[in-house]
Amino acid sequence: MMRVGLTNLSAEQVLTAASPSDDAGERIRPFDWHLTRRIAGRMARYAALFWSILALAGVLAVLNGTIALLVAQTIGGAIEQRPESWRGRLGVDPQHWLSYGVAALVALALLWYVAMRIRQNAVAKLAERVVRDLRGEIFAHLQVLGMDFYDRTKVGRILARGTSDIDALRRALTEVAPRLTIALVQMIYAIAVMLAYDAVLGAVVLLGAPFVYLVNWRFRQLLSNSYRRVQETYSLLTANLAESIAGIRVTQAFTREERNSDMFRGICHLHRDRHLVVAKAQGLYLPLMDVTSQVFIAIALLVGGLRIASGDMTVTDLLAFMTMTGVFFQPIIVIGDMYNVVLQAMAGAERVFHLLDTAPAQLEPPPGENVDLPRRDEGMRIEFEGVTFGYQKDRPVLRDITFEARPGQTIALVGHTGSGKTSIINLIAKFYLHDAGRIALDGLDIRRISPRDLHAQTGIVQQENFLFTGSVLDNIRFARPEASDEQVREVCDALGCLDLIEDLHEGLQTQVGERGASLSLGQRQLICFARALMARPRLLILDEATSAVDTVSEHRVQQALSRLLEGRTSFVVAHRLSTIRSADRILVVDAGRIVEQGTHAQLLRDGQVYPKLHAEFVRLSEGQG
Amino acid sequence: MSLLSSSHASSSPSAAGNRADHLRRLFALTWRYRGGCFLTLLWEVGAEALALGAFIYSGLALDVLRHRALPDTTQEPRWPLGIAPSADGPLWQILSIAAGMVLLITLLRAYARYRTRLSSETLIQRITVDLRTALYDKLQRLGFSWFDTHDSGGLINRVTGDAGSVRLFIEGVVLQLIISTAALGLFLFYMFREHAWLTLAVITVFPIQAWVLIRYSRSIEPRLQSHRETLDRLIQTLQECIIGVKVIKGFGQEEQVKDRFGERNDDAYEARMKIVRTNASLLPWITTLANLQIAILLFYGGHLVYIGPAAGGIALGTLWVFFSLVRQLAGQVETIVSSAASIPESMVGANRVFELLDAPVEIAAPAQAHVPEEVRGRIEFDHVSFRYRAESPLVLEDVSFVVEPGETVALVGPAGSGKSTIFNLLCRFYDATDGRVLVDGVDVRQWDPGALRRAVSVVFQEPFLFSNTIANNVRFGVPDAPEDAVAQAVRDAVAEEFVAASRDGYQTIIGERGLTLSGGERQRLSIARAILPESPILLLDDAMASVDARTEVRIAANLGRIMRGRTTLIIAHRLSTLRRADRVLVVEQGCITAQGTHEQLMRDNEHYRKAALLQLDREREEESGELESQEALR
Repeated sequence: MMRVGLTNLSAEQVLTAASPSDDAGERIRPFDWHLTRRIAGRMARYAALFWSILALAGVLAVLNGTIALLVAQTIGGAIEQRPESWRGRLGVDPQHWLSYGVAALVALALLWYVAMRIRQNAVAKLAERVVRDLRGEIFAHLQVLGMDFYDRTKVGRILARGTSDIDALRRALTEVAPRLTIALVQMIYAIAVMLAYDAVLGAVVLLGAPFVYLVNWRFRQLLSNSYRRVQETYSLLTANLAESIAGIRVTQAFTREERNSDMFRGICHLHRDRHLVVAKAQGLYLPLMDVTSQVFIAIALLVGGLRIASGDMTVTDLLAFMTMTGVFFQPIIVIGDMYNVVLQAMAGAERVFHLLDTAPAQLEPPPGENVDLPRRDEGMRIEFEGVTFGYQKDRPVLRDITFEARPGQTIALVGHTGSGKTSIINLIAKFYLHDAGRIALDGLDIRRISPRDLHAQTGIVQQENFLFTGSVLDNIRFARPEASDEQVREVCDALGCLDLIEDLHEGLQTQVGERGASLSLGQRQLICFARALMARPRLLILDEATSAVDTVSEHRVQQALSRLLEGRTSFVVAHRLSTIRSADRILVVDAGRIVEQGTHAQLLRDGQVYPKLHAEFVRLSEGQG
Repeated sequence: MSLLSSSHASSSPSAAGNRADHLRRLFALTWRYRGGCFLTLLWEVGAEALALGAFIYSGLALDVLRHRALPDTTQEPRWPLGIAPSADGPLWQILSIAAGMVLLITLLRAYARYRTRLSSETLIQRITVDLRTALYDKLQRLGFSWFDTHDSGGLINRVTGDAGSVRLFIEGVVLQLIISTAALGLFLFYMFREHAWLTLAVITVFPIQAWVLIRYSRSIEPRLQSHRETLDRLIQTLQECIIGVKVIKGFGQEEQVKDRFGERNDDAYEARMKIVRTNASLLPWITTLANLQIAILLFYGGHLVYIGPAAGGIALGTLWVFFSLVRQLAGQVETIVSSAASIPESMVGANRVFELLDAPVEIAAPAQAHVPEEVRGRIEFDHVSFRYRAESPLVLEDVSFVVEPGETVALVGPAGSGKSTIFNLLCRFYDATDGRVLVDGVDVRQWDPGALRRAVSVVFQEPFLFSNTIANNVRFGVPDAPEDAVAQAVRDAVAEEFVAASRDGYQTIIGERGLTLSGGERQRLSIARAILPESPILLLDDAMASVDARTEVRIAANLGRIMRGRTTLIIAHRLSTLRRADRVLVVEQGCITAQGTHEQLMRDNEHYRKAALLQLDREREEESGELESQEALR
């Protein structure tokens, strides 16, 4: 299949050669039995709704056909009454026949409105519920999936599962399934009526139909292929545009404005050409469908006319037949319109189910081996013994890690980026399971401890100081949702930063997040500390922020930090000199091994790697101060 | 989110005047494409006329049949344009002619519709390409300060979405309105000629349909809005829970966020159902009204057929034509109403397009731009002060210094002291608030900006690279540079090792979907990019911060060779760089507080000496560390 990226344009002719569009290039069939069954499975929960929609679709299709038929019959009854026909036998005066017919028509039209209204509501209810359920399932599954999933999947891609893919599915559920049912029933009804009126004429239409249908489907396939090519250039276009704006400073510094404009024009022209290919195909398709149905009307006129002349048929019958031809052919175009919707929905469904099928990493203890982590007042004891770990089995990032953290100790992890500090943290928090060796928490094998159990006693502070949209209060309370406002205050007070938080624009009610992004880095850090303390953790994991804050808050942050660390076993990925210096023990990590450990003073005196790292820290903190 | 929420509805007192102005501009823009518009219109009206023709002939066939079946009560059918076959001919002959005409007209109509589609798409694409390229050209030329104040998501939307809504105005509003009105006029003309009262009776439904549609669009708008908002919140929660997954897991709060998401999910469901209920109650009325219209047509028209044309009624064929036309027209009313409804939306888009097109280019070439034959590379700052925005504080205050051609000058100072700003002014990315910046004795504002920037090569602090091949990134400033020049630049920037190690060498695509480079590697490529053009002035803005010390020494040696006889300004920390520089400028809080050679400053400036000694300490430790690790390796 076509790959996303360059198409017809070489890397020299564009600014951005690789377009960051995702999820493309999969081979998608318009119909996949397996997927359809799974989608249907979601609807099984709403069986009553589902069957009533199908029934209503049948009713609507029959109404559509009957209305058309009634039109022909009403005129026919008014203009030609033969005593021997069934109309004649009813004995209704032609003048009144018209009134009755029209009255029936009005009644049917109103009935149609009622049926349509009920059906639309039902369809939407079903589709929206399926969508809501699926979304909920996706979200619940996301909570179950381990960090390995998040580390290898981009945020945008996960987001798309819950947004655009679900939307594609929604469209299919609201449009395709019900409209397809109407279309099918309508066609069956129309052909049955036509056959009843005149078997010969009906047979002509019936034999021609598969041909029309095939032409129609083939055209849709062609269209969908050329449409995909349009989308390719479109993503190329937007990718180039995005990078042109992001790199505008480089462009102007190197006076590439004109060349960039030429490149962009080239992409626009390619995009236009592909659009025109689609337009040509579309321009051929719709009139073609029109011609085919008119051909049948012409044939009907000719054949039907001769049959009228020979007395086998009446003008009314022919009129009815002609209106029914319309009823018969209109659904074919509707079905054709569904092609792209179905294609996108299938692709979306496939990706959604793929996500739901992604098995979470096995972090829970094997059945029967689960042990409870005791809740004590002192910090947690942590032991690593010859631990080896790799995100991929054959590429270990940690080798033979051995250390011990006694209750209440603060352990600083230092080392270069990529040395393995974060991986050690990931293992302690049981975000991942180690491959070999032994990790013990309070003397219990970590494999036998449920992550939930562990996390209930853990506090975490991330480098990015991530906060949720909402009030400061909600963010601190996040770690213990049942906590009262007063308890939140107490926690802030315990950190010695209640005054700083109450000084915020609206105190604890200050909004953070997109609208309230006005918090300073120091304030964000303090809130994250408070959140961690709120969890009443026995184990604290802290990835220190690299960027510094202003000197005044720096002092307060340090003060809060030392209070936070007090009495808990803490692991700190340290970026601050003061944190390192005051740690009970420093683990120097390099290339996946612990190369040195000891206190600051010991390591500075006897260490080989540490003094150099220390110097870098000095330089960094000076540079920022 | 910016796609949905970036509608900056302007509420200035001149908004109404603006709208009229924008409408005028939109029509002026449409007028520019009048040829294409006219062509599309011609084909479309032709297609509609042919549709009428096909209906007339099939109606005629019905009349012929009816006359044959009931010769006593009906009249001889009336052939259009007076061209009639002999009435006594065999029936199959007459029928074949009528059916043949239906087919022929249908084929012609198919062709006309094909041409309509083609000419309208050509027109649309012409407008789109013109708008997009115009916007892109403009974006390329706007100054840095403009980009400082506009977010990139919104800008992308202007070239894609907003350009689309201008197109929509021309295509959807102007063209579609004319076409629909023309078709409506044509059909109504025929119908009125055939039977005015019947026509009047039938078209009474149209205003009701229009009223329903208008009511619908009014009541749906706030619901769509609130649905968008709930959906935004839902997506925001989803996004936050993906980004903050570690926090959630770390505190074991999966259930809490699941509840929160569940609420948002329910809200979105409720909001959606409100839309659906409105849809379900109002939209089916359009079809129902169309059916009622047919009922009117049947009741009155059937009566007219019954009494026959001779008594002031109509033929059966005419009723068939009316029936077909009414079905055709139902779509036109909907089109007219929905294109009218889309005017405000396309106006908002058009607004933003014009705003961008009208944005003044602050850094423009003067009338008689200075384009020198040769640049010597003398730089002078003459009492320069600068602030980024009118309300913000001065970043540079009364800065004056001179750099002679061929000199290498280092700028040192704490972060935010204004070093990078000096570079920005030198390249004229911004204009000085006060004072003059001179290159070769000519004010940079007198220079042709292109010529100035070709004379100056910059390595930015942030090494931005494009998602293209390594080779194309290096030759960014000199697109036609031969391969060996690219290779030389890469060697000089000490980048050849990792380039050679990449999968496709120089043709390796870097970026999100390609090769991921480390910060140091990116910096080395951006150095290669800057030295390739061989500009007489080179600016290095902390260009080797992520490069390790040994590589920096190698790069510096190469630069020393390359930059001989050319002017170099370096923002740096390392002592080796400061020692190599001919002169050091100390920048603090927007002022130059000291200058001289490294030795002079070490001797005379206590502050400088202290900072340098501290730096020396670090570098020594660093070196010893490196030596140790080298020994350890052995």
